[in-house]
Amino acid sequence: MCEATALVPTAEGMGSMSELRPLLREMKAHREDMSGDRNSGCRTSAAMSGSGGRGGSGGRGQKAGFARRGGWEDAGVEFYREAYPTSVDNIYDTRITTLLPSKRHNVNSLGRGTVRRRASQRSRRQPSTTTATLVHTSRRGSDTYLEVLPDLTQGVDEEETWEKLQQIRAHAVPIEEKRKLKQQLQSAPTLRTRGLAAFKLSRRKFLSQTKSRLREMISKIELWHWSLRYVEGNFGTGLVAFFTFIKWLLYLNLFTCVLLGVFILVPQIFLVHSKDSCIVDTWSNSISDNETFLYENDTNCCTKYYDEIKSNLPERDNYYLIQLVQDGVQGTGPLELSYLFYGYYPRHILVLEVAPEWKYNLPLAYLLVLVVTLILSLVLMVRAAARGLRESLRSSEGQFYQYCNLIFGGWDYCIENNKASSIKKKAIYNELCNHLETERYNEEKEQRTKKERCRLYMVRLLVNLVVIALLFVSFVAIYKSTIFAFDHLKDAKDSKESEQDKLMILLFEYLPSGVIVTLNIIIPYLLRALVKLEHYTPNSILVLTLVRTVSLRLASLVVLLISIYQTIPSCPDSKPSVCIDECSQPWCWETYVGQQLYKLTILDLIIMFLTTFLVNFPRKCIGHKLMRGSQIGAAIGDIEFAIPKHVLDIVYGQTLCWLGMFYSPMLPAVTCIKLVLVFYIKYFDCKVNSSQSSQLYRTSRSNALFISILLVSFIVTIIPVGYSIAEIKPSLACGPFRGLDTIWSEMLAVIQESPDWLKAVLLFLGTAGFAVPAIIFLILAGYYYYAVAAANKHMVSLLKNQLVLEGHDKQFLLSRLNHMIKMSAEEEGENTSARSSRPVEDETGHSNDQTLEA
Amino acid sequence: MGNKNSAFTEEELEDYEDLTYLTRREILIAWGKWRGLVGGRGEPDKISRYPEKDVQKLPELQHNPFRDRITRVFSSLKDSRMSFEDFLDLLSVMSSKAPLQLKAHYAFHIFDYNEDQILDTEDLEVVVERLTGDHGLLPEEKNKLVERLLEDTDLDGGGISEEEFKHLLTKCPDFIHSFRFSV
Repeated sequence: MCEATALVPTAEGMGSMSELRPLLREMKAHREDMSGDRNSGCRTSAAMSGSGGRGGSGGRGQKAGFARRGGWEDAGVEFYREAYPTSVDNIYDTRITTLLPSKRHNVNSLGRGTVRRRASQRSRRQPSTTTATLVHTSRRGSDTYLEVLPDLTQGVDEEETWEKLQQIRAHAVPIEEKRKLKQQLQSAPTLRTRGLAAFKLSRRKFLSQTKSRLREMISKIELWHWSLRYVEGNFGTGLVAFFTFIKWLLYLNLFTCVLLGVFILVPQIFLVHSKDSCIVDTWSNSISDNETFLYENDTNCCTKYYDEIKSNLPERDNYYLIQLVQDGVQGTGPLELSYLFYGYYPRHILVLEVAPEWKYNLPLAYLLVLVVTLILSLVLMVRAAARGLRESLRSSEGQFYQYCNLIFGGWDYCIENNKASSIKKKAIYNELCNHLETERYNEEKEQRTKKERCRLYMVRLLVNLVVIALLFVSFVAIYKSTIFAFDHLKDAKDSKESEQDKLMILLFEYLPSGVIVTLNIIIPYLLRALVKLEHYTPNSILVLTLVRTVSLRLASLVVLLISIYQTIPSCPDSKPSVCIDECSQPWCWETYVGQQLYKLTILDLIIMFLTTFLVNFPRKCIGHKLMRGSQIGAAIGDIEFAIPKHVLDIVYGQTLCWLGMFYSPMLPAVTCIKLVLVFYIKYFDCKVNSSQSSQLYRTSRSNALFISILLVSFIVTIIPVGYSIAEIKPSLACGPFRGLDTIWSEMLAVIQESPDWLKAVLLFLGTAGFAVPAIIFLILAGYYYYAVAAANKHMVSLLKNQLVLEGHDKQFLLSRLNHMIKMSAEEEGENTSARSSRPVEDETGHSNDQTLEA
Repeated sequence: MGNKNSAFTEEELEDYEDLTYLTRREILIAWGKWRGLVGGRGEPDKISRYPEKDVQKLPELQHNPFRDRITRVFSSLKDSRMSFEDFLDLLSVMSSKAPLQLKAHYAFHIFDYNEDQILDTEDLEVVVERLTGDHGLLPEEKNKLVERLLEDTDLDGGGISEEEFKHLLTKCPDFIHSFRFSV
């Protein structure tokens, strides 16, 4: 049964088409007053070649289409007029329309893409059966239902059967029928595959099985599965995207941690280094037998000095809790002398005790691991961003697709809560209104008078100036506060510590971070207020505020780094032999930077905690419990979970991590812990505090948005880190790169020691001889892809036009056909007309042809 | 686990695994859910069919504006009554592993209220109405919306056919994210 019905559509489609031609001629004879006769003939044949193209000769059809385009457009208007004659709008119309192959209830055209791809693979593999396979493929294009059944005339090999078995689940029929199909497939005789093919097949089977088992296992241990499910059921997929973003970042950081742990921490635990002291005679000894010390004598002594100063810490006995907390949040005290910060890492070549000839260059490992992690993060992000971009590009094709997206993809089918569903409805309603609003806005924009336009532009210009001024003021504030805090900190530390001073120190330590955080809280409110004056569309308002806020956050960090940088070169480095203690430089500026970023990270977490539990939670309680029902209560208690703001929080945290990673290699680990806490804080915030945002956050758009913000901040981060690696002289007293001119020179030294050919290659990579052709090549490649994309775009619009013309064709032919049927029915009288209409209803397969014959 | 496992023979489980996009564990969870839904009418089996009211107690369906359509489309005899196997079909299509084309097929039929195999103005109006709920758009807004929807989608006139709809959905990136349940 399947065989018969499945085969019919194409054959029948073509049949009825060729049937139509004489019919048209007949019509011409019937109606002499028809205008544009000749054109219609021409167009019909064009239409035929077009629909014939479906089977496989698409290229030819298109070409014919293009050649005739000019003619069509002239004729188009007339056809349009003729295409929808109201007089023939009768009962036959809809019936015949449903009989068209394209409109048929075509259950089984699913999974077509994969089947066809596989088939083409196979035809490449087996050149001997090419013709047979080709026939196969073209049939596949029209209807795959047939394909599920084993073709008993041909030998079906095991692989094919297996593939088809895998495809069964993609068929939109009830389980009962799928089961029948499966049985049919399994009972059909198959050719056993042998040799390599059999091996490949079993490997494929095995792989797919393991994959599904693995997936099941992963789904069992998946992190936060139930929390995510709860969010999904109650708030929809837009919010879930936010939480999965946190999860993704957590994994990224975990991965970084693992790399850092394996290549930096573990070697330090299991490998030893020969000796580490400042005593001169040991030093001269060690130089002779083993070059395990990389630093010069004086630097080594500086280290000692540094360590001594650092060990000048209060004894354990009078180590109060307050001190512990203070050190914990400041990253000072014992933390400063831990693996948390750059300063503690030694400049050693490590050796294994049992095999001393095997050396492990720790500084090099430190450098390489950090660079590699950054690159890997970049690659992962770019991949995710590209996926997101593709999706958002697809949807941004026009206003119209946004409507489709809203109507057909707007409802979250996983919503399982009454409140959520009514909120969702409201959100969809708002979004629809938003779109209509945008449309109205665009219309209004076109009607704006010159005067109004000028005024608006003036306002915008003014607002932008204000924004820039605001940003500038905040940067100055950050800069001043950092310098101020640094100076005072130095003074305070110089004078012997008293209880009061300790508090002052804490205050000064947190001054720059505090200023940054405060600005980050206040300025966005101002920005949001300002943007309202500018009269943009709701969408652009969102984007604009986001961009401004992001630039504030990123730039404030950069300013912080710059001001720290200002303090570094103030030290005369002309006397390398003297351990610097008279200059204002912190003992180990890398550690200082690390501490600043560590503090920012901690502060960020604290602020998040406070706003959630001490601001939003009481607000919610007061608003919804105490002042229930009143308007003030609603105003206090209704807190929107504004995703962009929360995303910014997360991205900001990640930026801190990247910035600080080099100066504080354990910062990713800290960030991991922080992210776990943040997840629960945000979860609480959204579950208890917030009513869902009445704005609709579409999953696809927000995914792309998150990642692109992350990417931008990554790039901004890379610049200062890269600069410090390549240009700034590392501290003499601490860290794995002490005594070098720049951190990167470690790398250069290694290159210098490598074999000649490698050295030549690597050095060549750095010259203009390589860079210039590479850049030119990249530009050319970019241009090539741009050109291809442009050509494709053009092609798409051409094909779309063609499709529209075909549609008019079809309408035209259908109406003519109906007319004919009606006329013949009238001629034959009432009895016959009853007879001729029945087959249309009953049989779906041959009815087209039959009615034509009738 | 043992208790749940006894509901299926090994063969049945394998069958279901082969025929749906669900994993073994998900099938067992689905069975648990099914028992919760229709358990009020005695111990359920896999082929007896239950009225849509029972099935619509599923939290995901309870608040879905299209619940009646979903039960109708997934009912194997098109009488809105569902058996466990139909329920599995529903979950399979709604699983995140199901391909877009399959999802689109069912979505098309869910949206096709008058069941004439074409999404026309009538269908779209109902869809929009149900989506926005009580907030109801003004009639002229609704008309404008439907008009815009049809304007570009419907290239050959007469409503959106299934093939056109599938093509359309490949350009609606949200659909694949939103058209799913998680088990």
